[in-house]
Amino acid sequence: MVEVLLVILAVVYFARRARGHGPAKDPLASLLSGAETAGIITAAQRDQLLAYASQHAPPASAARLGGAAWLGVFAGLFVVAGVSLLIARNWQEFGPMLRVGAFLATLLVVGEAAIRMRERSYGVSVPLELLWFFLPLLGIGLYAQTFQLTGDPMQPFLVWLALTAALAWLSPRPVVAAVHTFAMTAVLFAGNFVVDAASAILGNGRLAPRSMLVIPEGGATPLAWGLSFALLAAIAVQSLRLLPRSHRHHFIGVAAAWVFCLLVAPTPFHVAHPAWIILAALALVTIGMVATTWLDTSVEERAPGMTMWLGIIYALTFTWHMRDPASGAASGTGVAIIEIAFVAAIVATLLLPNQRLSPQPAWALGMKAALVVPLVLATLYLGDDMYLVWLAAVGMNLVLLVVAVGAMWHGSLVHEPAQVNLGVLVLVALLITRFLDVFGSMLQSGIGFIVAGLLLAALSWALERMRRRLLAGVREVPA
Amino acid sequence: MTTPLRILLAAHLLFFGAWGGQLLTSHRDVAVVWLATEPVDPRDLLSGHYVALRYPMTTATRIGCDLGSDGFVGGMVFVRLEAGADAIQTAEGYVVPSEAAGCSTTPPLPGSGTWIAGRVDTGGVITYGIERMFVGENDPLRQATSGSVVAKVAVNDNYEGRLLALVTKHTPTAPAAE
Repeated sequence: MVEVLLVILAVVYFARRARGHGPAKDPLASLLSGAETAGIITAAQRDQLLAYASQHAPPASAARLGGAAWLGVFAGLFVVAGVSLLIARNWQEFGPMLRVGAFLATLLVVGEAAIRMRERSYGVSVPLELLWFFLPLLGIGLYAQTFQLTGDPMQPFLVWLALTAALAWLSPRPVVAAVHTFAMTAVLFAGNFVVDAASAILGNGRLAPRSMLVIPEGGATPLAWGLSFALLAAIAVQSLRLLPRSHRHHFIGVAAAWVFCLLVAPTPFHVAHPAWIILAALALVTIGMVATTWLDTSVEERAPGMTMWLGIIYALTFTWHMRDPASGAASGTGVAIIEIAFVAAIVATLLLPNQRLSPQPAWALGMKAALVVPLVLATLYLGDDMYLVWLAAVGMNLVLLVVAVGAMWHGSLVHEPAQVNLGVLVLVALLITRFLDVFGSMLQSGIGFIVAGLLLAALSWALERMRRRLLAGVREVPA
Repeated sequence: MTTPLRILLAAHLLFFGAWGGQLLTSHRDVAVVWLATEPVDPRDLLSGHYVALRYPMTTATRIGCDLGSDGFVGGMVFVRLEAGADAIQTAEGYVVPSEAAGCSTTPPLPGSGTWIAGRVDTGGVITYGIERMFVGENDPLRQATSGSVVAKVAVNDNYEGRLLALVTKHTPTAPAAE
């Protein structure tokens, strides 16, 4: 009881405090006022800049989601989940006519309310928009339940996505567009690679018809290919036109992941040879990284590719444990795709404008080398000679080491603390991993852990000193 | 600016209204048959509360359906249903399940008996759209398995089947040999 009272008092206090402060100050207005006070611009220029910004800058609500919008998103999702469970309960006592009528009435009320509230508060309009967005899917489920419909497992989702595409384009906020784009991606991957495989694994006696999106080993139908490419195109167009500016190029990664799944899933392009899979993963992720770098995309758009690339090379540092050369079946078309991706990755890296990587040409060339070398090293896994495989593993360790040190060094040169931090993170992760990786028995491990701990403490101290010196250097450089 | 959204809402309402109307009327006053079911194990654990059903006519070879060398995958077949020889005792009295008595890859002539349409999948499996019976949260049928129930199916003039009910058998059928 006391806790509840305290919570209420806290809420009232913060609400009054927020009201007392009035609306949040516009940071641009504050900045320009400061500039005017400092004599950098005149009062007239300040007013002109503010007028220009009010006309040309996107409204804050459309550009990004604040706390209220996120609460609205979760409110909408909670209501959707609740409606879904209510439908799943299966109200058998109500006849089909009543169910259909109730659904149509609900759709009408929610849709009309969403339209009327669209320009008002997030707390109401975002949940209503999301509810309207999901209602067609819930309606399809309700009709299937009411009329005992059995059919293609992906068709309801495709119909839902088609019905709600216009809503994603007409919404003044990116919430519905983002959820719709994510749903298209999920349907694409689930329909192509997951649903049928899961059905086969879980048994079920093949009761459900095969998904119209499935790409089986025996060859997909023209409809499956057509729908898959249409979904990929829709994901790309919708990402470019509707998603927030810093997330518009994630579709490049989606496309690369889709090609990779074509290669590793049981499709006509199936490849079960680990070395070819390694080469495919590295080539595709390199293409994705080069593409996002070429397009000068945001950090958010480049981070997944960079993380994936580092993750693959990190995983390959363990291949010194391999005792037998890689082997496995690989379809001719799959190998051809990987070879094309390999060549494309190297050519694209070499053609990438230097200034996209670094303002200093020598560093740009070094980064290109860092992208190409793992690809070349990965070809060593294709051979039968284990010494070449172990050489590749050592090479991957060296690549990570060079990338880590290079990131710290380059970050200090171009005043990018994020690069310095990334380098520190990669280096420490690599060192810890190798310390843990090379020790075997309890005696060795015990001594190894103690020595490693002491070395890491010393290294941490040295790295922190170096990092502080570098970051201090960054701050001291005049603008 | 709200006009396009109102048009979209009207389109949604029209879509679900028309579809709901079609579903409400498509199986009125049509032939009703009983179909024996076969055990299916395991049940689908992912898709909520429904009884998964399999029928003898699910396998093309078991009903003498010649689908050609290419398997006719994705094609539509029509299976003629006739009342079988044996009655089954159920909770609602004796019912006579229908059995597959013919198969055609072309639509049958009108008035040539009761036919049900199915789509051919890989391995000669035919699905008829009557493989799931959704049941309520507290319905005792939720614990039923295919083979322990008889399915009541309506078949309309377009040869589309729709599950109307499941009735528990008093003596469950043993699993059929494939």
